[in-house]
Amino acid sequence: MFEALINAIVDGDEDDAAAAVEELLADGIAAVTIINDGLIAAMNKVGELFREGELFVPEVMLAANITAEQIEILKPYLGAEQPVCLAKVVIGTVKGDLHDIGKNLVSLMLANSGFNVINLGMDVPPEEFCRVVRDEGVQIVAMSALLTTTMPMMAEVIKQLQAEGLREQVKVIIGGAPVSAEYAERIGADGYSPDAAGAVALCKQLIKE
Amino acid sequence: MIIGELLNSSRLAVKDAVASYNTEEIQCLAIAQTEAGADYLDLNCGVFVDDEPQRLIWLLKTVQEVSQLPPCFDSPSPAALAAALEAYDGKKPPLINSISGEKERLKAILPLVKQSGAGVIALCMDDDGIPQSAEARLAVAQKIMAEAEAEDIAPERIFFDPLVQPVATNQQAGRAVMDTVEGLRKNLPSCKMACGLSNISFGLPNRKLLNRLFLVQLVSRGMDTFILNPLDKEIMGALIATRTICGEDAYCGKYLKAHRKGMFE
Repeated sequence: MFEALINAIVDGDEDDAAAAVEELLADGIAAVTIINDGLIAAMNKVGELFREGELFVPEVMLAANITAEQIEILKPYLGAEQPVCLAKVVIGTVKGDLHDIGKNLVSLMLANSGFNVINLGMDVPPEEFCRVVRDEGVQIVAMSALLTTTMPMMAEVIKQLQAEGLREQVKVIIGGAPVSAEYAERIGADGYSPDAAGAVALCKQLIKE
Repeated sequence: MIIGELLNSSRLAVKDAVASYNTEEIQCLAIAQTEAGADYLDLNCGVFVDDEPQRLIWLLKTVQEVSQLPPCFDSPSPAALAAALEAYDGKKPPLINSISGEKERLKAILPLVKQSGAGVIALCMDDDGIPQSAEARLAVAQKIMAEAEAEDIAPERIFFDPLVQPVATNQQAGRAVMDTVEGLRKNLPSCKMACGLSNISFGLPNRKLLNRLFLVQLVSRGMDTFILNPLDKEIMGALIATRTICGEDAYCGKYLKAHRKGMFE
């Protein structure tokens, strides 16, 4: 039933995707079902193909943008029934670091895979991560650093989460060019991913635990 | 000119070599890049958070034993830069990589530039991040220029980096750099320019092709210095051939020399 929609998104065809959504609505399919089984399923497929090297970064971004547009279109049709929210994630590039390309890609992929994402942008101080964890009830903290000099700031965020007694209630994941699984372990993070699709898989795995 | 990029501690092999003070490994890379035609050798010990200055000095001394090339000290840390500049006793002035329009960075590093007589790479960004438009990047460059002039640093010592970003995530990223280079050449003609290439192709297949074609575009607009891997025959060949086409190779001497060396095979 959702094949046409999924294919349109994977192919990056905006018009076909819009037409498929329209058709599904006309057939009486609930908006929430179209989101869960159509749009999110499509982004899962996109993530998978990206990991396999079949799709490339601009194609993932196009698919994510089409998906986001269609979610906006479907929002007015959503009644009491809301689409699945796998978990609430706060994401940001750590203090002193102004790189956001990879981080934004992860944010896009997570948002379109059923996560509720709070994107804090770049140059985010530890206090800001802690504040959001405290006030917004997030389950996952995702941090990015692209510089060897800002990498230690990720450890600092974890330290502050601990100091404020917030560490136990969240999973912490990290990414960025100089970062590694080994570094994640060293600073007491719960996971590391080398790419955006991996980050989605990692988040899904962590919320199961 | 070419800044050889291989002696960078964010590369695993170099990190290990510096960590274990492996002189042979480091000197091999220094010699290879020197023979391949580099003009400067980038030296980066940024991953050694605890003792970067000492590591950088060791790397410098180790490289200086086998290469006369001036170093390009690659660190945002004023302490590491000051230590390395102090330890350097070569003839040709070194480079500092880098300053930017960020106030604190400028304030901390500009005096080192002045004092040491080094050249400096200046990133066209400031406290608000990387400007998207060429005009805004040019404005940052002019601001940095004014600060440098106030410190009596000659424009010839400044290498502006227009900041290459992936065309995969922003399709205007290449255009913005090309326009920035053109603008810099026109408005700040005495300054030099330097940049890396590989960012342009992040997230796309056939990266080497994109890197090479981007290089051609930049050389034709007046970019004079690249931070690259001089052991990569294809990119070096492309650079030599482009300069020949752009009128920067008297009697095509460099092109023909490269041909005889087998660079284009």
